[in-house]
This record gives sequence, structure tokens and C-alpha cells, in this order.
Amino acid sequence: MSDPLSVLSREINRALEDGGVAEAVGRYLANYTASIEEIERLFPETRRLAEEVAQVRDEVVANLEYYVDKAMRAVEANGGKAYLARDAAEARRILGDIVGSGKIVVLGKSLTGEEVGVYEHLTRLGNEVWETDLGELLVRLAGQRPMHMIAPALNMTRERAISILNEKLGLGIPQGAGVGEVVSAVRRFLRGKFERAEVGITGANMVASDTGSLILIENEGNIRLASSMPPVHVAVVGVEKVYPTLLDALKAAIVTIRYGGYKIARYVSVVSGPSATGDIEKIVVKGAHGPRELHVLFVDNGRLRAARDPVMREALKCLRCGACQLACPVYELVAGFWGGRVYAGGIGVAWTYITEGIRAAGPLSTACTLMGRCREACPVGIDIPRLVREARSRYASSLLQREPRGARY
Amino acid sequence: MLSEATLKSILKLLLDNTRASGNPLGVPGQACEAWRRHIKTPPASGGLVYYTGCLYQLAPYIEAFRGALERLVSRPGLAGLAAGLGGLARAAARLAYRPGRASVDRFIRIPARIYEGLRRAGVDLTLPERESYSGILLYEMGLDDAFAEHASRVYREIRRAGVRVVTIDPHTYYALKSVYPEFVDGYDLEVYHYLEVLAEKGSRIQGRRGVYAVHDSCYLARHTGIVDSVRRAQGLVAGAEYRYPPESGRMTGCCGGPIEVLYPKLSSRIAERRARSLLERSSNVVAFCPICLVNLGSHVSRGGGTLLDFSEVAWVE
Repeated sequence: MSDPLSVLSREINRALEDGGVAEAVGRYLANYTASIEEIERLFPETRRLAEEVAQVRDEVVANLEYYVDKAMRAVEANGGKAYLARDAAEARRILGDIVGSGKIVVLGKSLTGEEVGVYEHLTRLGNEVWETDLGELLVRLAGQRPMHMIAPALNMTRERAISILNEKLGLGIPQGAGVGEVVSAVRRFLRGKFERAEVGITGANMVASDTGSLILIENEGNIRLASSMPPVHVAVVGVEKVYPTLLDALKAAIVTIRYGGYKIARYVSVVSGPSATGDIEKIVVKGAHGPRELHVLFVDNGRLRAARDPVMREALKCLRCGACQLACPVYELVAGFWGGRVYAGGIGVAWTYITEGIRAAGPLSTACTLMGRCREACPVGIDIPRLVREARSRYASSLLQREPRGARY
Repeated sequence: MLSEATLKSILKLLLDNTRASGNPLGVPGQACEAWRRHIKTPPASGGLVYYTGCLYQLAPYIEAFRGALERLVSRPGLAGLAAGLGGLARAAARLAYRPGRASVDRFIRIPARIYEGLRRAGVDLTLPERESYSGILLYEMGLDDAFAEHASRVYREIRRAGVRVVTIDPHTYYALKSVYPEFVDGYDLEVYHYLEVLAEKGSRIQGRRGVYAVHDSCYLARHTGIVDSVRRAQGLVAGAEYRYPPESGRMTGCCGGPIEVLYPKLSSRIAERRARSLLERSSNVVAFCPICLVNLGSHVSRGGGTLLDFSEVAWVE
């Protein structure tokens, strides 16, 4: 049955019956809560920083086209190439033109990349495409969707991870191996892919429109490798990720990291153009040790329209830290099984609305309790229950209007 | 099985009921007014308008309605469902899913208890001519047009009685304070929750002694942000001590409403977890909201505890 509400309701019930989901979220949440308490103690200025970032996000959303245009020009001024794709199909077309076929492509984790369908499209074009984020790799191999904004495989136990890696990649990890052994085995396997990759594709957490710099936040080091080892680096970025200045963007990076439950991220890369050297005769040559080419593909896919939507525009402020998801009583029990193809939880209702429309987002809107702890958890104060209720209202209208004899009140 | 067709039927049922009976459950209006039989102190003209919003009175019917709907939705076949829902609408009018008498009686006494409590604290109260439901469920379900129409009518009814209003449950308070202004032209009501009024008066209350685990209401603690008044009011009850679970105040946990109709299993699991966390603090649990009472009630009693409304702690009859 393809009725979207039946599918959702069935998935939610299945996740409830599978006690493993709530158990895994519970473990993650316990660690997350402890980290957040420590972060509040160590960095008491974080709340104030978040308020400053919230103001910057308001400014960006109010002038989105201006900042996107400015960021694109700044990227080009640095010797990169900037593109603006109106929708996912156009993004795929541009990406296909850049990458071509028959290449090894390594991916860093990116929800926007997921939204556009980077993996599927480049595979279809005849490329060998590898997820290099461990969680994302597991999710991809298991054929499930990402469960959380920064912890896509948060519902996966080590036993399950081992059997998936052995079955799909033949890594031969002994059952009963520790998580450390699993990580080493994946590292050995992917190292060969990084060395031979011709294209590395990442997202970007922020783009500074004054300097054209991309900010990439990560812990594993895979994004550093994917953005520096291959000769071509492509960043797929939602247009809302732009910031007026590099300083604003760095502040937002700090806030994103801390609300994501990390004191620091292991790596924060600032990429401003393709690699270059001027060491001989001060003649600048592109492509020294890092990539020769940098392509920044800005993806609209509903965002610019949302910026004009009096209610939904607020979702564009999102930093994608995932704090709201972990504050949600529904998410706590069913994780990303309450979610669309890419975006989960309450904020996921709004993002599914923006990127896929009411047909996809409407059913999701019905599973929210509107209790609102997500709003308290959000660093930039997005009124998520308001967005969900608005989606619900538009969904109700669309359902009742589809009735041939006007059934509206 | 929940489907878009089911949801559509449910939405239509809520709309039809509201049109016919003034509330989405199709409960006759008398149910909203029945509490007035228990009034001992007569109203005082010129006081705050005491608007109950009828949610406490409807709470037992919500529970019964949910049960009836759950049985229908789990029934296979859409034709049967449509017929069943039609039957439910008619049944509602006849009160065929009438909740237990004890439950109806308990919930009817709550508005009366609060009324008398406020009067005893020296608050002058006047009553609107009619006891109408606030329409908040229509808003929560996204039925905005119907809500706007309903809210405008209720506003005019209340306005005829006065401009300063006190209400008693968190959903109605939120509706009148935060939602009505967006939907009703020329809205000018000054709205208070009874716990704010009580906290302001500050007179001690001879309540029910005991140690209570506190389940804060999300609408009071977060959406309207009056948790400080709630705490001050709690502090007025002589002999009542309070214990708080980790999820309290602005970060209070969820009772599982209002998704209990569409996702009964999910809602019940949320409620079960919350009840467990409360019972770890005390076997007496206090809540401030009829929806919380309905959703948490069975889980608290299954865990060997007692769930009371704050008014039942504050004013023992």
C-alpha cells in the first residue's frame, strides 16, 4: 500500500516493537545529555553566542538571494567555480557534468547531498562511489535512511555493523570484535579508495559570503581527506548555509558543534579556493598538494521559495545540529522512522516540506505532539511546533479540498 | 490501519461535530454546563469572567472517543471504517460511547472546585452566558478555517461578559492568550490562568497533605511560560511537598497527547515512560491539565500511584 500515512504509521509501530531503536537512542541521549551539561559548565558563553548567531540567521534568511549571490562571486574570485541549481534534478545534471563517469568518487557526509541524490546519480552514471563517513557508510550499506542529522546510524549496534560490513564489503571482521577493530577495518578499506579517487564530494556547514570560504565540521577526518586528496573537490551546499562574514560563520560553527554535543570538533576545515602554490617565481599554479579544482554547487530546491513563506522561512535558520531531535519524546522512541527520505523529527517535517512539498511532509506532521521541548533545545530558537502545525494545517486543507463535494467547514 | 482516508474521515467528523454540537466530539452542550450545579458561592457581577473552555468537562469523553476510534481504525476495510465513523458521529449525539459515571463526575467537579477556590481566595468571578468549548483541538489538528469561525463566536460570547478573563486549563489558556489574537479580528481579552490569579492573591490554602511528583504542563511551562506562577501557587498549599523528575519546568516531559487518537501505541509508550519517571519521585502525582490526566492516568494507576489534578490537591471537599 502506498498511502503515505499508512506507511508512516506502520514504520512507527514497527520501530516501537523493535525495542532496539529506543534502546539505542536512549544510550546516545544519555551521553549527549552529559556532554551538554559539561559544555554548559566549560563554556558558559555558548548561550550568548547562540543568540548572536540567531540574529545573523534572521539577517541571512531576510536577504537570502543577496548573500547567495555574494557568496558565489566570492567563490569565483578565489578561483573556484560556483553554480546555483534550482532543484535536485538540476543539481544532479551539473554534478554529472563535473564528475562524468568511470571515476572513483569519495563522499563526505552531507544531508544536502542526500537530498539531491548524489550517491545514486553518480553511481547510475557509472562511477564507483563511496561514502566515507562511518555512520553514513553503514546506513548506505544497510539500505536505510539517515536517522539523525549528525549521527546517521544512531540506531545501529556494533553486532549489526559487523555483519553488514562483512556481508557487503567482505571485510572479515570477527563477530565479537570491538568497535575499535571495526573502525580500523573500515579505515584500511577506504584508504585505498581515497588514494585513487578522482573526485571528492562534501557538503559544507557554512559558507562565508565575504571571503567565499567553506567551513566543514567533522570528527573522523574523512572530510579532510575527501576535500584534499582527490584532484577535484565539489561541495554541495544548501543556499541557506551562507553567512555575511567569515567571523559570523565561525561563530555559527562553534554553536553548531556545541549544541551537537561536542566540546570541540576534531577538525574544522576552512576551504577558500583550490589548492595553489606561488613558491617558484611567485607564479601562482593551481593544484599543489590539494585539489586543482574547487566547485561549489549551491542548491536551492525550495529554499528560496521558503524564504518568502511567512511561516516556513524560520526553518531556514536551522544549523543542523540535531539538538531538537534529541529533545523530542517521539524521536526518543522511534528515531528517524518518524521522518522523510532525508530529514527526521519535527524540524524534518519543515525541511521535508521545503524540499519535497506537502504531499511528503503532510503525513509526517501528524505524528508530532506539539509539546515544544525542541524549541527550547534549538540554539537559534526555531519555533518548530509552529512549523509542524502549519504543515499540518496545509495538509488538512489539501486532504479536505481533494474531496469532490466541498467538505470544508 | 491509519491512512489518509481515515484521517480525512476523522477530520470531517470533528468538523461536523463542531458544527452540530459546538465541540469536535459531538458531546451535547449540557455536559459543559453541568458543573454549575455544584456552585455554592454565587457569581459576583463585574468580576473576572470565569471561562472554563469545557476541556476538563470533555476529558472523559476524549478518553472514551479515543477507545471507540481505536477499535474502528484497527478494523480492516475502508468501507466498514467510513460506516463506523458515521455511526460514531450519530453515537456521539446519543452518547453511546459515554464514559463511566465516576469519571464524568470527577471531571465536572474540577471547574466547580477551582471556582469555589478562587472565590474563597477573594476573587470576584462572573460567568459567561454559555459554556463553550475553546476549539483548541481544531487548531491542533490544523483545521484553521473552522477554528477561526469557532473562536470568533466564542470570543463574542466571552466579551459580552467582560474583558478580563480567567481560565482553568492549559490548552484553553494558551488558545485565548496566544492563538485567538492571531485568528480573531479586534481581539482584546486580557487573559489569566487561575494559578496566576491564585499566586497573585497569595493566601494560604488548606489542601491535601502529601508528597507529590509534579508533572508540569507543556502549555504552562513552555508555550505560555508561567511556570513561576505555577510554583508560587503550589507553595500556597499547606502540607503539600513536591518532587520533580529531571524533565521539569521548561524542559518538562510529554504525556503523550494530543496524538493519542492517531497514534495510540506511540502515545501510550510516551505516557508510560513519563509515568514511570514520575512514580520514581512519589506515588502521588499531580498534574495541571485534563489531557495529561487522561493520558497519564491509567499508567500511573498501573504503577500503583494516584494521579490528581492540582485543584484536587489544593481544595479537598
